[in-house]
Amino acid sequence: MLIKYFLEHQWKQATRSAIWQKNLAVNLIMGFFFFILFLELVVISYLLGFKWHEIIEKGDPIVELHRMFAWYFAGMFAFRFFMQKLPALEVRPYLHLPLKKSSLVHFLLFKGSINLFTLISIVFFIPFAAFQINYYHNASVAWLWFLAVFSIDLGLNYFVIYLKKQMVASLKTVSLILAIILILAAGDYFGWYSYSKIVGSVLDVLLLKPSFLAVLFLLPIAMYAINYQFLRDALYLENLSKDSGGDLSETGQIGYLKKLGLIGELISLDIRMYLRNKRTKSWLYMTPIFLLYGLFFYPSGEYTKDGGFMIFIGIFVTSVMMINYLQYTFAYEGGFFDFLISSGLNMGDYLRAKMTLAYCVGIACYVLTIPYIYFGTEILLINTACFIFGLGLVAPSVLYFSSYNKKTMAINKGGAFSYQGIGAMHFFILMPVFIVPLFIFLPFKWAGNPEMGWAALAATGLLALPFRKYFIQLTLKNLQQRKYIMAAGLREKS
Amino acid sequence: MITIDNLQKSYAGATVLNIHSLKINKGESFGLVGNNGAGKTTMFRLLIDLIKADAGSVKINDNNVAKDDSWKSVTGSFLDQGFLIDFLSPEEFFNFTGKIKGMSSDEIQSFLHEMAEFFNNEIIGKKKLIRNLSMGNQQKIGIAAALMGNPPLVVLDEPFNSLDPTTQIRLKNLIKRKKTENNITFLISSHDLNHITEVCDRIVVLENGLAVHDIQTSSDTLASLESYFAV
Repeated sequence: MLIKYFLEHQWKQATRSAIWQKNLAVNLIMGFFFFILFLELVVISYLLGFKWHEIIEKGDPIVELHRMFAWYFAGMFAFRFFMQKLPALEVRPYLHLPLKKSSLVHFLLFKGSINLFTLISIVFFIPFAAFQINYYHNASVAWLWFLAVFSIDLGLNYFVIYLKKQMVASLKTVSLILAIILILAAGDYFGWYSYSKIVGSVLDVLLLKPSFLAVLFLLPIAMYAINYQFLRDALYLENLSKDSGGDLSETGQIGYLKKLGLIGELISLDIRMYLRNKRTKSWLYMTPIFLLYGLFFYPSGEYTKDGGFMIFIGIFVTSVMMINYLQYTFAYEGGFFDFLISSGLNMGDYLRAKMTLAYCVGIACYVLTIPYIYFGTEILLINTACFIFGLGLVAPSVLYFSSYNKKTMAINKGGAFSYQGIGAMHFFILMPVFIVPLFIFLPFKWAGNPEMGWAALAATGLLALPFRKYFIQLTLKNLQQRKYIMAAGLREKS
Repeated sequence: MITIDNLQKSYAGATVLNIHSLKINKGESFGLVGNNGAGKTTMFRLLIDLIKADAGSVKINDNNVAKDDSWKSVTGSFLDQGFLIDFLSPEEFFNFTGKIKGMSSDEIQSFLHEMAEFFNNEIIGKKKLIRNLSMGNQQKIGIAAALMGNPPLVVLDEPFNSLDPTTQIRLKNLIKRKKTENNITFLISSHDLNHITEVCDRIVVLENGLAVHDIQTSSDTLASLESYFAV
């Protein structure tokens, strides 16, 4: 049986990877935590399903249940979209073997249906089918209902896979679909219609004549077929390694940088890196979303303008691109770290170039977010304080912490939401970035003087600015100490 | 030029390299042969301070490579793909490497001109990124980059691999020419006994991390190496 070999290879790939074997203890602890979480999920689903009719005080329990499920699907879609990994099988070694291409695709898609989220859904749905539907209808309807809602979830699963595959292939399609979803969500938010009512009532109607529930089985089948078609056509070597470098003459060619000597050379190296690699490029595409993040919050008065939350938004819109660029330093370079440390390049220059480009990115983001002044002068003041704090303290400390990394990031592969090459370290960096400003600001706010808090934030940034050299020295020292560990880690391509 | 003293490296308890004492003189072309796993790459990595020795030291021009960075300005090296920046075009990569080595744009241009024969019209002006080139062409780029700025010491790990026959011959001529013209010390490892005996004055055979033979190349070196490896 072919599938047996596929499964076996996948299992070996997982258990024999360097990361798995090195962190066996960590993996066991994580496994234990997941087990506990899973048990909790089972218990909660059981209690919810068992007591649903008591929890719902007014209205028909089943109608309410269906509305709740509508939100469950929406949430599940979001979770799957951001967190689910694409099913992957390194197909290259199999393509030349006498195997049917369709079996490869079927295997890939089959693998795509087996994931944590599907399991959560199964565990979550069963109690409702067993206790509620079974009670109000009968066992066979309960079965049918379970299969129907599971079909919706499975359909979503394949829809997300398709969406994410497309995201690598064509960003246009994805933007279009996401825009439609956003408009639909906005419609619900502004009360043009009710998403949960519509989805809920579809389920209600289908349940009136339970055999109609079977219609929903078509959903995953259709999604599967679309995915199958797409993958089958894409399964050629040239597509797998398709990688047009774009027009070389235009990317990363900035005349002015040439005048800066080696620093300019290093800056153009990073600009080229960003423009010519998939992963980094998809981050660039997301820049508008980051910059426009404020629009979600500024228009509504709910988030009081002198609150800590505004500081968070301020740091986010002015500094997130800069942070994103700096925090993966020494992860991007995985492919040529040996070259960097043996070529005679002065690492101090290297870090200074990084800082220079980061400052440029930070300043550009700040300038682009100035129009937020439309929502009030306070916002500009807060963002200015956050921006100065970002340049002065955030940028050099993120660069420093990035030198603790030892994992290669395959920047040539994967999209914006890939977690390959991102370690716990990178999340750890973000905590102080967003928490420290609050520590500075909140005491002033509680003392009734938020303006002073903003000033304190800006002052901290200004005070830290001259210590830039010191931070670079610190980073250099750390690099010197961890050189062999980093080089060995980065040499391992996971 | 290079002094190796009691150099030891082991992974997971197994010794992969243990060299008691080795001196390589200036201007010498030094060849390293040995079967897979004999410790060739480990030795080169230790030599340019990419991994940390468990014991002992490597000194280039009397400076310990692990303690002093001055060796970087006298050494050009190409061990594997990790020495290429694959999202650059060859021109951009040479330009970048040249700038690091302190070369002016004119010097870089004349260097590329000098390498034109070795590149065989497959590298420059192709409007392709390094990662989209074949292994052989990537190999050429790495070797050429190691030679930039005429460093007194050049370290090449398996330079003949994936090169086409013409380029292999050209590489041998290039090494010989650079050696006589610029008095460059070459450290080369190879599986190919023919090539290595042709370009090296001295050959060391590694076996399980030990230097078991140290031969000054002569007319019967190839035959004796062949009989050594024919087990």
